[in-house]
Amino acid sequence: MYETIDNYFEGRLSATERAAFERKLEQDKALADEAAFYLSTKAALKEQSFQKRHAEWTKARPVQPLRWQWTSGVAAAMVLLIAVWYVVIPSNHTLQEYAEVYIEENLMQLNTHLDTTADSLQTAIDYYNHQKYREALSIFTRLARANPRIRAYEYEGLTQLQLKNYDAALVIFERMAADTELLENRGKFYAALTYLKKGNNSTAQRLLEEVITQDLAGKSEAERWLTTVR
Amino acid sequence: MTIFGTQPSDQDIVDGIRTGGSQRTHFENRLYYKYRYLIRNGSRKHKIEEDDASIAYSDTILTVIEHIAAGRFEGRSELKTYVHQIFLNKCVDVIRKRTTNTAQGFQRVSLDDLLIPVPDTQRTALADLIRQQDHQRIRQLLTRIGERCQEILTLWSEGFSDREIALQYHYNTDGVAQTTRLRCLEKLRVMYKGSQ
Repeated sequence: MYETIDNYFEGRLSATERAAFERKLEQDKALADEAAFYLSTKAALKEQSFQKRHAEWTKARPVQPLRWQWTSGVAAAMVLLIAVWYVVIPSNHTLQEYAEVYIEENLMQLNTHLDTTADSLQTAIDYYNHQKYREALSIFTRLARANPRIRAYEYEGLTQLQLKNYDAALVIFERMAADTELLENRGKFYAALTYLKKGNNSTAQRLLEEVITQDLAGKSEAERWLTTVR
Repeated sequence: MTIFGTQPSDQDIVDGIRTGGSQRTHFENRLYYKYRYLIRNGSRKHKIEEDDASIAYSDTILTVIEHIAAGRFEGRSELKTYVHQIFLNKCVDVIRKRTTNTAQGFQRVSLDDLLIPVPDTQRTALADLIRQQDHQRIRQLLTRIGERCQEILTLWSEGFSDREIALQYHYNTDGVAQTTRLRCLEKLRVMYKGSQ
């Protein structure tokens, strides 16, 4: 009995066999009980494996006992190592990772606007928030062309970023960065994110430095990231 | 890859896990360390304890490893995006468990994941049957079915294929590995029924 159950859960049955198994599973209590035991055992083992791996991954490195006569030498070596560490070794986090997390945390959902001049802006935001970027883009593009003062063109850029159309996103963010009338201008910061997604670290780093020196939106993130990755 | 090139690429990790053997454990660990910054981010973003975020993260990595090994991760999205998305779901699970205080046999194993092949119409009934099993008893009996059986069943639960199990234990074919594994399961079932 377990062979059929195993073949079913391991995806080794043909469509016809699968349908027959599912019919039988629905009607045959004994088969359903065996399937439940099969899955319960797997779950119990997975739980055990989880606890073991989690403990391995999170355990602190054991401290090796030191003989006292070695301690001064070791201490000196550690000072040297720490100095080398600060000069040579980067953080575990790369600028790309920071950008990825920032996008994940802040740019996956756009705020809904109560003062929307057009229902279509709200529709496009809904599309964006449901990852229907192509549908969102056509509306944002149309709205941005009709009225560049609304946030549609910022959102058009973000949608291009999500679609990985990095060059198109950069055109928009650079135009946004040049707009002196925006109260909170994130154009340069978004352009830096886009360059990081493109893998162009040096340009991204330069833009992040400009965000800091010009006191633009995104300054606190830029400072934190650049300080950490040095 | 980090600025100084100390991290393996996502493709290296995927290939390493799929290669199996000792390589697999090495790349599993690299995967864990590569994205562990998510623990702190998840804790802050979802307002959960760092320990809970750490558990959700380990759970995420084991899920991703299983998906890679079983071919369910097909590379249609970036591995990083995939890890982020699963971690987000695991954090939401933590919040949901905290708010609903759901009692179930397992703390970190999702029944939904186990029941993926089962049609929606039959999931609830099968999930109920799983909840009715004596999980404590199963755990105890697993310690008594013999070392080889324990190892083989553990590898299976971690997503190792019969081919990998056959290679590890020098069985001639995948079929031998499957038969051995299912005999272990039947032995456990007999012990379970006998203990009731």
